[in-house]
Amino acid sequence: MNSTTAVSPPLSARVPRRRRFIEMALAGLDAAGFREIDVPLLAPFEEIRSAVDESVARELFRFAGRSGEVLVLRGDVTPVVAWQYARHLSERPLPLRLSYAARVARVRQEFARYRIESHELGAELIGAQGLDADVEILSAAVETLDGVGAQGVECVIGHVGLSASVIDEVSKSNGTLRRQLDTAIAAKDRNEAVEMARANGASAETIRRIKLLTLVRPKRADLAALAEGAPRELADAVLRLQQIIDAFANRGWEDRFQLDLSRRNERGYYSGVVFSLTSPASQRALGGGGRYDRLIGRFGVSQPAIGFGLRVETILDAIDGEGGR
Amino acid sequence: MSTLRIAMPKGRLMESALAEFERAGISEKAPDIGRKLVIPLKNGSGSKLELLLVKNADVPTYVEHGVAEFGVCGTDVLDEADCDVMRPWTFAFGRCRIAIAGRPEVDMSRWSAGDTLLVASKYPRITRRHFSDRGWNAEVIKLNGSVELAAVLGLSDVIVDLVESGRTLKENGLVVHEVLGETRVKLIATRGLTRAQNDVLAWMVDELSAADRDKS
Repeated sequence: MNSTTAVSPPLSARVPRRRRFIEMALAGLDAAGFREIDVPLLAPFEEIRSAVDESVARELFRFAGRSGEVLVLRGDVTPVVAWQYARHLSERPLPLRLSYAARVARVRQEFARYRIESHELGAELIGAQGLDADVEILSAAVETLDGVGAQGVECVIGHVGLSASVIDEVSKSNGTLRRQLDTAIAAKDRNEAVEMARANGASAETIRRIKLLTLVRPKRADLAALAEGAPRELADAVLRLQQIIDAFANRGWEDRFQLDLSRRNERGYYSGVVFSLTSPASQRALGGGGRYDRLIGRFGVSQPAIGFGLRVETILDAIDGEGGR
Repeated sequence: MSTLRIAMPKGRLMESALAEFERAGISEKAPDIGRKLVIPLKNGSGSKLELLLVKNADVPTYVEHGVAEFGVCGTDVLDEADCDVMRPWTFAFGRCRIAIAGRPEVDMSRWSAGDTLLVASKYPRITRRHFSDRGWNAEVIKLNGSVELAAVLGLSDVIVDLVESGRTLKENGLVVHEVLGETRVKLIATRGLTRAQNDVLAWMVDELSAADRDKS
């Protein structure tokens, strides 16, 4: 096996340390009411595939089972938890708070450098909609990292609904243009996004919004400007982010978040607020998450949900001063 | 805050980018390069900045992995690397066409869906994507330089390459058959920047933008 696939050397001091770290994080989540579940190692590819976008499906290792059925190895945990909920947990009282810690394998593991295998821990809040649920999960993610000793953790917050209406207006039914504009806005490439919009007859109002969406360091006033005269979906997304900012301020966390108005739906299943977690001690994001109100419904039982996942090795590297900074 | 790094491609692109940085007040004056690969960049941000001198094609890798927070890179290299980085500033210099070129007698209108073309290029990903979007089969031959030779010697039917003035093509008896787009030079940044690092990026973009306004 290629050594770059290993999580750590077999007899490394990291092994017991990682176990203690996971136990500490899960204990913190347990105290907040999240019950640990066992995430299966294998899941039926056809069922998972029907619920996730191609970008997620591409990252899953798949192979044939004993009866010839195609199985996937645990990769992106959230769709598997959604599948488990729909199959086994849908009779439970709501909201349901779940936590997990699992070893995952992804064809492309963006947060763990070259590691194909890594450990991920996280939490999902199922059956809860609204601001309180969003704030609960965002806070749980930050507090979990604080609790395990990560320093200077910051939350980068966005909403997939901010750019959606702008992209819809400019691209209409042109799939290639949609993909290109989505990519340009997500890269904060104002020049390219504006050129593309102008070439396709976008209004001055849309151009103004693209300029706001692609700001490097947007402020609260920019968020308000985005909502001026905006369609319903965009106005709702802005309102939710403003409410979250207020909730963070009430906790004294004004310096612990950044707005990112250009965030895209990179996993394909997000439907509302999305976030990532950074630290000055790490070159990589420590984790992230978001609201996914339509994912569980793809398995037959509709429930709103929001969750987060943390990359254990990346966090340990940051705590140990090996995060590259 | 620890030192922030800018991955910079060696050569002409670096000279133009450093001149822009100096004009915008991002660096005090063009630093003495010599043979060093890591060079401190005196600047007015209040943060420590240094240049990492790397190969053009490696800039996206250093930035995507966060080893360098920022970089300067052409969109040809970025699109070929298919990397996930921010591209918040477009420089005025370094505009170039990317085109399909070949011998004058090549008649591209004779090709249609189902035909297989032999295409030589330094940019196999961009080339495959273009021909695939068109519904053509392209067998891409990856070359690292002097791509024109492939069309001259019949290694490929056509080439996909950057065309600046068109002089190299002309001197080798080749012509542009189709312009696929324009490449630009971007200031790029890694994802996952902290607030303080993002402030430095915003400062750089503001300074470059102000210098551009002054110029025009």
